[in-house]
This record gives sequence, C-alpha cells and structure tokens, in this order.
Amino acid sequence: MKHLTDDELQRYLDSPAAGRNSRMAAHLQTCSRCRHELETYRKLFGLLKSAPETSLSPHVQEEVMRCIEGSPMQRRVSMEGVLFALAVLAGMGIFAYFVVSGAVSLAWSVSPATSTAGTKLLAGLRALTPAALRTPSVFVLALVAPALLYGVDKLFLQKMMKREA
Amino acid sequence: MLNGKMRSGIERNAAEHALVQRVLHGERDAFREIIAQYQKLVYHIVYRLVSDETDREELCQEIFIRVYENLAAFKFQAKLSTWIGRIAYNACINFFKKKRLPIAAPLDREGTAGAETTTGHGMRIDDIGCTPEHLPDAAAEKAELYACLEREIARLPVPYRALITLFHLEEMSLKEIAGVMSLPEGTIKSYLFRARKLLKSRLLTTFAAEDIQ
Repeated sequence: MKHLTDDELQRYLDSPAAGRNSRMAAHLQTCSRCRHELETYRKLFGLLKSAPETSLSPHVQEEVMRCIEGSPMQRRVSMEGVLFALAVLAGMGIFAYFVVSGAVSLAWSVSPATSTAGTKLLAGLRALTPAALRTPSVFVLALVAPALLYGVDKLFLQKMMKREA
Repeated sequence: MLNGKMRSGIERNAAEHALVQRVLHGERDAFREIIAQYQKLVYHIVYRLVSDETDREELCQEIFIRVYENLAAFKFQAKLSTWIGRIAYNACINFFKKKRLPIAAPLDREGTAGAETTTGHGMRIDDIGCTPEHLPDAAAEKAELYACLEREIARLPVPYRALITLFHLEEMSLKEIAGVMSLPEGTIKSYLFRARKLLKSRLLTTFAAEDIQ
C-alpha cells in the first residue's frame, strides 16, 4: 500500500476542500499509519497557531511617536507643496506676460493712443525680468521644470524609497 | 452581486486608505492606530527572527519609523499588512546582514540549520531539559513542549521561521507571504512544507506523538 506523503498530509490539512479528494480520503479511512501521521500534523499546526506570550513593550510606541516628530515624511509633504506652488506661480507668470503683451499688441493695432497704459505695464513687467529670461522658451522651461521635478520625485524617488523599504 | 469576502476586502481597503490619508495629513493619532493595529504582526516577525530583547525593541521602533517615513509611497497595490510585513522582514534581514549572521543556512541531511543556537527566549538549546522525565505535571509538560517548539523554530533558517510565523500566527495566505518575503509563491509553499516536516520530526525525537497537543 502506498502511503500518503508528508506534503499530501500537510496539503490535506491546509486546504480542506482541495485536500479531501477521494483518493486521500479513501486511503485515510483504511490506513491507520497515515491517520496517525495526519493527527500528528494536526496537533503540530495547533501548536504553531498558539501565539508566544509576548507583546511589544508599551514604551516602544511612545518612542516611535517621539521619533517621528519632524521626520522626513513631514518634510517630504511640504517639499511637494513647494514644488506645486512653484509650478502654479510660474504658470501664472507666463499667463500674465503673454496676456498683457497680447492685449498691448491688439490695443496698438486698434488705436495706438489707447495702448499707452498697456505699453507702460508691459515695459514695467519687462524691466522686472532680465533680458535673458524674457524669451518664451525660458518661460516654458520655468513652467515645466517644477512639474518635471515633481514628476521625478513621484515616479523615481518614491519608487526608490519603496524598494529600499 | 458582491460576495461577503469581496465586500469585506473592499471595506478593509477603504478603511486602510482612510487611515493612511489621515496620517499623510498630519494626524498623529492615526499613526498610533496603525501601530496598535500592526504591532502584533511586527513583533511576531521580529520575535521569531531575532533572539535578543533589546535588539527586538530597537528593530520594532526602526520598522515603525520606516513605515511612517515611507507611507506616502504606499500605493495600495497590496494590503497594508503585507507592506508593513515586508518592511519588518527586510529590516530583520538587514539586521542579520549587519551582524554578519547567516540568513539561509543550508540544511544538512537531518535538516539542521546549525546557525542560530539560541531559543526565542535567548536561552541556549542545551539549557532546556527537553526530556519527558524532567516534566513534573501536565502544565509543565505543556510549557516544555512550547519551549521545545520555540527552540526548534529558532533552529530553522530565517526564511522558514518567518513564513511559519506569517502562515500560522498571522494567518496570511501564501500569496501574501510571497509579497512579504519577495519570493515566488511556489517557493514559499515548498519551504513551508519542508519547515513543518522538520519541526514534526524534531519534536517527535523528544515527545511522543500523543504528547503533542
């Protein structure tokens, strides 16, 4: 008679539905040795389920709470906020620049006289920014850079930290 | 129509999501809840893998701090317990590497890992009188049986100890354990069967099958 293997006996106990196939069940009904082995495994599994009488020391929780004050996650959240704010500010700046310059051009084409105030405003805006930064590509870069940084942080750094964890 | 298991899974996910969001919004008490909810899981892993009580406490602290620091990166692709379990397991593995202790010592013919020779209680194996004649009554016999079991678990290679704990104490599925230990599900299953076979044969060298209960 071929006895049940250790793996079969364990599978029988782990997953009652899958383990109780007719071959195993029939064999167990007739083989006292395998029933005995099964019973030993059943007792062992019962023992393994009993948790050791131990617990985390209460001061560990307090120590953890003390340590996480101002820990990296807090700074991380605020860094994300700063990047988001930068992206919004850059976007608003570009929007203002192009709206004002567009409005001035339009006003000048309709009536040069009415565009005086707009021209002054545009000149003021231009005076505030260095010549090298006044090209559209720089403004586009200014808009994209914080978004890029934000993306790198989200996709790359956090993935790296997750892997590290 | 959702069955009960699926519904409870969805409810659990929603509860975990809400709890994590509260922590990410700076609610400190929410993190206390996380500690309270998962301290058993973390401590069981650490307890079974590391023998020194001071090391255990330091590791538990380190694990929860890591959980906090990395919580923003948790994407809910697994259960929170699986994610925290993985952090705990990896922290223990790093601890072993730092101390240059063997992690997966090859088993000899009789299945002896030969690496860790202390029990979970920090006692040496030789310190335990593991023979039935030393046992005065049933309660002492049971205590001795548990001590023997813990001793035998402590002799297993580290991955076996971890999965015995996760499967039987934490009642995690093989898939979840595979997630915690970053091993294929098939490997976990074969390790589990081998670990329990070893434990059974080792306990039977000391106790009669009738005494194991």
